[in-house]
Amino acid sequence: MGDSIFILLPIIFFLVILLGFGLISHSHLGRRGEATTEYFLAGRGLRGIVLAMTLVATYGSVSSFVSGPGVAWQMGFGWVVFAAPQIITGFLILGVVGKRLALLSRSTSSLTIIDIINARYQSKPLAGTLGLLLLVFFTAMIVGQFIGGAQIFAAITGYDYKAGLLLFAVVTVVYTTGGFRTVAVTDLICAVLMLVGMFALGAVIINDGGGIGAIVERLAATDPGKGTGALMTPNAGGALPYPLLLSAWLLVGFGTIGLPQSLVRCMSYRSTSDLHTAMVVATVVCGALMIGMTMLGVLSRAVVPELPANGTDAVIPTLVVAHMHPILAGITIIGPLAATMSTVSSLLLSASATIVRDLALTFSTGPTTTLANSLRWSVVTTSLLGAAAILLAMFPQDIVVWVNMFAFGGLETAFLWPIVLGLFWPRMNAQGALLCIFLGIGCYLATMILGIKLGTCHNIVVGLSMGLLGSVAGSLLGDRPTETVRRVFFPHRC
Amino acid sequence: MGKPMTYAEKFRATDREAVLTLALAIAIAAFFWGAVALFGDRPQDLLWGLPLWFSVSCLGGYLLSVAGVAILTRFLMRDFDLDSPDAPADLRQFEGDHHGR
Repeated sequence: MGDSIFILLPIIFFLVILLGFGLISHSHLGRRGEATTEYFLAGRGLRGIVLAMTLVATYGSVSSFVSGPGVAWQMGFGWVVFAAPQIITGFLILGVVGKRLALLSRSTSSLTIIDIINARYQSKPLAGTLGLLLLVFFTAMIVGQFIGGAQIFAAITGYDYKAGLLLFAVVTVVYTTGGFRTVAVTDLICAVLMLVGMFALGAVIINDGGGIGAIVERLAATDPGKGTGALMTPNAGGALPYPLLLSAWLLVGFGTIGLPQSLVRCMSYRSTSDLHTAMVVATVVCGALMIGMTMLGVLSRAVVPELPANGTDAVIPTLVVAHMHPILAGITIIGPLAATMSTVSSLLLSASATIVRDLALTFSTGPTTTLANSLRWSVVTTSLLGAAAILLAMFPQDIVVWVNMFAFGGLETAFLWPIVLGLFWPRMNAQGALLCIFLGIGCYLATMILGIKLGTCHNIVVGLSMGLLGSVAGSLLGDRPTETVRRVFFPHRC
Repeated sequence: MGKPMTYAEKFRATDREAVLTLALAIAIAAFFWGAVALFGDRPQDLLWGLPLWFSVSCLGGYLLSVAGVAILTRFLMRDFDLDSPDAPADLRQFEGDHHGR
């Protein structure tokens, strides 16, 4: 236990800095331009590097640091093939919808993705459905991140799960109430610390493994249960069927254009040159982190040869505890904690925006709240939602863990086509979007729950293709969008 | 820089840039799977100390991605003002949020 004091020192230092940032920006809130635009979009003023880092830090979660590398330990280089589509994730969303959303966010004065949906489709049932889906999936994801972060905290420091959870979760919620600018800047800090954690792990693995050459030799001679040398193959000796590896390009590649927590970032930057910078920086950092961490999971097998008792999720904690000096261990564990906190802060802010602006506006019939009021409400909502998530992580419920499993693919299925087709296909309408959601989410959940498989593909293939079918069918059968919508969303095709 | 672009011209430019970005992503995917198909059945061949298929597809694919995006943003994507005074105001949802400068 004496060592764990040393582990805690860097963590406490990190948390104090984030907390300080949060409190300072909190006191500045409301002094800078339009209050809600500032709270939910940082006044649309993010610079290129901050935009890139907030995108990557939001996307990179605790599982990129713990579960992913753990599976890579078991599967070998084949698991990097599964993670590899993330070399395009950094630029794809920014390049495809980045400028379009920035233009439309300004011309329709939208602050959230649901605002954009509302302006494009003029349909309360649609905006309400997407708002509710977003809220349910985001809440489950926040709780899932808290649980994952607290577990790795407990595994590495030896302190209590609940103590660790309270420590970093409360800090996260507090600085999130500082608004989007605080979230983005702390994301930048977190992204840098994720890189630091990765390099520390890499140094230890390569050093203790006796260099890349010796490590790869040992991997080639290992039999993971699929024959000697299976760790060296692209399909893990058959454990990873090629259709599954191909569907990964939808799940963590092309489909990520539909993630609302990334989409909202496309409305928050200052200028086109900031977007261009962000595309390059995000590609460099996202690819390095995702390929790097997964590859380190593969290589770690040479240093942690036996599967830890608690399964593959324990590979990285075991490595940190057994092979690192406590101070270095403390610095390294900041990596996954930073990944947790940066994902949670963005989800929490988007979820509270959905409650305050979207659901309130969708379901209210009276006059809408004034902007000054809605800032206070926003801060209160963020705090309450954060507190609820902390409680749910304290006492984990099966239902939340279960929803979290579908959340990533579910969000993609619900949002990808309504956003992409909504922005680029003038004929797309509310009927198409609703049919997309019901068919896509319905089939995705049904196949996941009943265990129905389309060959060996990931079920995201079912969700996205049924969603596309629903979008096209509903749009062709339903009404054409109004002239007003066309003038704003398709000025070049009127 | 010449005359500022109209709202409609900006949309035409973003149509083109979206297609180019998608094309780049598809090209990277094709390169990646090409490398796996070409070298994947000889896992004992090494490059940079790692399996050849892995170095070319994953590490090479990453470098290709970075180079591709650098070219795309430097030479093919256009700069313009994101605020459009000529944009129709019909769908403005919250007057107080107007961002014009």
